[in-house]
Amino acid sequence: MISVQGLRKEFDGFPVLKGLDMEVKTGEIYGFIGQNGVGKTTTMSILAGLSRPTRGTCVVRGKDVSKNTHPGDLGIGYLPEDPKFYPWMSARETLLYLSDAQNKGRVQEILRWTGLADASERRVCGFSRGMKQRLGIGVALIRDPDLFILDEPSSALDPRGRNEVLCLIKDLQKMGKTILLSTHILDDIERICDTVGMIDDGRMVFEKPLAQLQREYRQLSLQITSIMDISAAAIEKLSRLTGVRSVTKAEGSLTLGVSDKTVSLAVMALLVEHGVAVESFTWSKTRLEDLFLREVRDR
Amino acid sequence: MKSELHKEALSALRSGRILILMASFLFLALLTPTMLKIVLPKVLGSRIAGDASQEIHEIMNMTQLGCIRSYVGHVFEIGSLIVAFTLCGLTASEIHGNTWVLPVCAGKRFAQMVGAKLFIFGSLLMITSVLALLANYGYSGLLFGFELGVLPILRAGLLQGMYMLFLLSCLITWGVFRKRPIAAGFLTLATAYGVHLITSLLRIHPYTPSGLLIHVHELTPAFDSSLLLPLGVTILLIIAMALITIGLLKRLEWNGRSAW
Repeated sequence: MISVQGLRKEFDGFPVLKGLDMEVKTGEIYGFIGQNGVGKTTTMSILAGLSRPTRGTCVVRGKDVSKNTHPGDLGIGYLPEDPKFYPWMSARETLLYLSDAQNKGRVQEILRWTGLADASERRVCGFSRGMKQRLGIGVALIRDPDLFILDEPSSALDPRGRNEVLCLIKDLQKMGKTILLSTHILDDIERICDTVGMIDDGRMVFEKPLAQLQREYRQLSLQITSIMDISAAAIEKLSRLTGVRSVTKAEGSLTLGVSDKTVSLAVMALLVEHGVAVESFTWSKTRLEDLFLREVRDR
Repeated sequence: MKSELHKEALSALRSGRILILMASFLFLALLTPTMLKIVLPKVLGSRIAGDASQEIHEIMNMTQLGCIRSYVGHVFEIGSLIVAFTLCGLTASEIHGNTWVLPVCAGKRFAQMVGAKLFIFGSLLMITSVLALLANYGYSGLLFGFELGVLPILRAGLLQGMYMLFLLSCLITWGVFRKRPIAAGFLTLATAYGVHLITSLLRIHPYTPSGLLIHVHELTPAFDSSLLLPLGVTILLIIAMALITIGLLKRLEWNGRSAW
């Protein structure tokens, strides 16, 4: 659905994208992650046909976007990071205008779907950022495209609104649509995405199916909080236990990277042997956010 | 195209541009006869004492024709300012404020978007010019006595409207070039006054959009052949600027954050 190879984009000689490669398959939800200013929005603008690449190939739905294609001909539903509307128009007028007033039934359906039916006659200037975001999603839906490019679709929404948008995106996938979305909320990526691509300094750091990523990076860890300080000797012995991969000490707590939960028995026995008064044991798994932070820190 | 026209009409109405243009032009149209008939003689009279005051009134033997010509001159000087700064954001704000991103992605064509702006705001300027000139004609007739028919006024109003359409094209084109409303306004004024000045020095202004204003000033009822050249040149310039604008928009790069 989207194929990007060696994508470069420079602004007044300053490179923002430095040879980005990415591949979005038909029918998948692709999560595009990265720090602020690494080129996510620029990439999405190029894919939506709003900006032209300096170099590289960028094929969207079989069309080369570098060849002066009108954005409207790409058949994409695009939601910018901060969608701008005419403040003097109502939500209904906005959707009718953008759909060329051709399908009033669909406009009504979208207003209902995005939760804006009750506010449809209100002018957009009175909308909250969340409502504008919903309207932006509605605009992306208006021409019923088969590819959606959504730049931070849930960033301005409250938890309930966010959940609704994620469900909406999942529903779109069930209808056979392809979705490329960027977000800073990595829990959202873990909830709905099939593939994750991380960009840094204008290049793709990794691009993998989420399941594979989780297999490779998801590590079980045991966090121990104690009332007293755990002695260095105890830590040394813990690190030598079979099944313990890593030991990280922080103030008042100790985090052990372990192979499986059976290790806990040996850990507890060792702590009792050293007279450590334990306050809590907490199991956790490495999240995408941890991986993201690690990648960012390592670079 | 229908939805584009509807959107521009809503924009003109709800952004208050119709009100500003109508009110400003009508104010100017009604103020000119008032100034010439009542205020100016009083001001001059108060500065010159005795019998000389009466002479001032006689020297300033203002007629309806003179009053309308005075108003037409004001429209070029002040009306251009009003048009330039009321409509300076037509394209510049759309680009600078990113409001064209969603329509473009929804498949709207630049030719339709620019065409709709030219049609709606051009019609508005045309109607405003004619109505204001009619108001000036009626009020000056009441104050000084009628000496002209309506036909020369309608002709002059339409030609003045055509000149305003030229200003509108400049605003639309400069707006795409500069992407800042105020810059577009100043550049349009520089173009209008600059063209007038330079072509006057070169004695070719009867063949330029400024030439339309000469015909407006004549206040004759006939559409003679000498009108064809400035009219044709103005129409060609409007078309050329519209095409340049569309070409520039096609090359423009947009971004979720800003356009450049």
